[in-house]
Amino acid sequence: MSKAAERVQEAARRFQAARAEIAKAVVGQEEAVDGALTAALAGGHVLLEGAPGLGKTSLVNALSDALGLTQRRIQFTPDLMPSDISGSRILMESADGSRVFEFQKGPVFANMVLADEINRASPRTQSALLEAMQERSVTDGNDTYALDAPFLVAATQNPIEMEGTYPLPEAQLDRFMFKLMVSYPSEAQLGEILERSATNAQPSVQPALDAEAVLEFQSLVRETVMPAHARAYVVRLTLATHPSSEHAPESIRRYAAYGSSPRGAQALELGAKTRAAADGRFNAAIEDVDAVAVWALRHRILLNFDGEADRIDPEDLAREALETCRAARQT
Amino acid sequence: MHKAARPFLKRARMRAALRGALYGSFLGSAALFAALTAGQLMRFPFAFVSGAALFAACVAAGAFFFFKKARAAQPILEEIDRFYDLKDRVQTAYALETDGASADMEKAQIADAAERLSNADAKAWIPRLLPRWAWTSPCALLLACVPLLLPPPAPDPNAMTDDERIAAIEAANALSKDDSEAEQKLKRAETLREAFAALAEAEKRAEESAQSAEALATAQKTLAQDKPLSDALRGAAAEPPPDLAERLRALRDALASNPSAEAVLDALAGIETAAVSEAKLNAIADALRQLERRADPNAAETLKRIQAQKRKLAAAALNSPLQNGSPSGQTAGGNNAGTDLDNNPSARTPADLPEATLQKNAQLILETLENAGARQETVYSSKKESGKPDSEPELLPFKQAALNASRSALKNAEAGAVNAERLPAAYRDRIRRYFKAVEAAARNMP
Repeated sequence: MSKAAERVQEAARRFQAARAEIAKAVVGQEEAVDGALTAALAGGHVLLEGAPGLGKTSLVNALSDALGLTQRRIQFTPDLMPSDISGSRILMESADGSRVFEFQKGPVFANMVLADEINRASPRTQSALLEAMQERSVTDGNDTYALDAPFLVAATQNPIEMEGTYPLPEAQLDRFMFKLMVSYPSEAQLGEILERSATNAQPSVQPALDAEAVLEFQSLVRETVMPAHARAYVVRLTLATHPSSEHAPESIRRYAAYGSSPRGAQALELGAKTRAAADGRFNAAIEDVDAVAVWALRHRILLNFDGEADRIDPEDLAREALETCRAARQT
Repeated sequence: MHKAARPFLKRARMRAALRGALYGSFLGSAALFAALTAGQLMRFPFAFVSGAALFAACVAAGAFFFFKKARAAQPILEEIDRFYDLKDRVQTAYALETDGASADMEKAQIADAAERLSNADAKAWIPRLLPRWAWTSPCALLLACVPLLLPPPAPDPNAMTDDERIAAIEAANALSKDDSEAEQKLKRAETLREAFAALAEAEKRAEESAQSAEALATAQKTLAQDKPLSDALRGAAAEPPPDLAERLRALRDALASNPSAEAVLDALAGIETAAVSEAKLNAIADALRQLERRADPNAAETLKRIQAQKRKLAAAALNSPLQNGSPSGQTAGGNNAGTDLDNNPSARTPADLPEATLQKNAQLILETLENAGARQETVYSSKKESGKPDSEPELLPFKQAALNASRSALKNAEAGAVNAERLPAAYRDRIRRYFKAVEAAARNMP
């Protein structure tokens, strides 16, 4: 067996192992778990949206434990300051008695940062985290401090309590690779949740990977082959979200103001490659692109006035764009 | 990867070609059906050969078109990926090998796809080269041959038989130097009616030419001129001879019975009461010029040839042999004019007889009546009455004889034999002059 085959096989094994470990702590939510794990192993950030108490924080905790990553949690409140995220300079007394400013690293210096209720903080504070997400470094004055590798941000937001919140601007939303919806559990799932959480038997998540393995997985993802026809499909799908594109369906033309940026296309390709690697394959397929399409596009389609007035869900527009591309491929 | 994919590609292309041949066979069957139907109904020659050629061409074209369409490997590889759920492994590996893979992952991908494809069986993917509905193709071919079971169309009852057509062609050849228009019409004639119509028209033209020639001869003799009369009269206009008016009156009297000289007679009208002016002479000269153009000294011979061909064609229609170029047993009494109808067991009913036969009988009857004297009360009739043998002439009143003549000629026919169109030309003018005289007398009456 070639080295590449060994790497792919090992990656698939570890992915399944991490998946199984997360399932110990999170009941159901298969889509959210798959999406979060895929984004993490692709090196992207993920935004989780759901009502309170659905297990968003538990999912992120389990994810970080399964991936063997250090985790910091930042509870976003309206009074949170940017320095509370990135860190600040503190006047310290050195050994020789002199006083110097020392940079104290903030909670962002971790492998995985849980940004809880990110929409409750002010835009200034949000931008501090988002800058770190993009640059993977923190700048303090003239000094730049690189963040740990791998660096992943899992943000959550509550769609119910929107009063007094600062929704992330569209340009900032684009930095999240996937936006995952955490839905209500089914009846059976709810019963299992109670069985697990309301008793003394608390499952513990064992690490299936570590930071180095995660970096190796991310490297393997980037080496995974993306065939030309699948890449062309990614391009067509991305363009289909633009109202002026010839590939766009009627609903996009009518309700969308702007479509996905090239970051969306990158998210599609990386997500597809990650799924292929997790499946033990050397190449991504169009089915992989279809699987991650909604995650990658639902937060990147901006509604126009008609869309807002008719209360159109951007997720529906993303699904229609996907169906249009599928139908075009069939013909 | 190419090696592993080769048997799959080959099998897919064979399937495509066979499928194309099947589609072509359906189209070819339709073409064969059309060709055979045309052959049966419209007597299209070489129907089977052309239909078979069309069928073969459609099958070959279908196979070629679909094979050519299947030459692209990408759709076939996509189908393989879909069938074996290989998640685009095969088409990715094929493209990588075509482009020349260099990275480890690419090489591993190619090896992985090739191994998986090698373990697969092309026959498992395409178990049947022919689709399940292939049995409909021979059924379509059999259906296409159904027109062969159709009965041939009934022959056109009006179409000429071979003998009649030969007689018509011979008549055309015989008249080729005399009347080219009649020759063309006889050669193009499809029915007996058309052939006889052409001969009737030729006969009319010949009669008019003969009458014109006769009228011209009469005029030359009466006016005692050698050179063309029209020029002579124009020359005489300047200095008319003293007896010119008398000669013109004699000319009028001489041409009175000639129907083709009507224009000359009209120009000579009033010659007794008015003086012979220059204008009058020019008018007479113009009329004589028309006569010179129509006159044909050989028209009489032409007329005889035309009539002979008419009799031959009529005989061919009756399927009776001719003797000395004339119908057998023809006499002035016309006693045997009915033998063609009665004694010929193969003759058709009077309704089926060609017009020439009817015309011939009617003409013979009328000539008999004329020769016997139309003013006589009793005449000999050629019409055989029921129960009487052919050798006994029948004495009948003139009216009855004429009625019988018209009945024998016109029975079940659309047009009468004794009407203006079927009378010889000489009779037509006589009747016209009669009515003109009656009309003039009526005008002069107080």
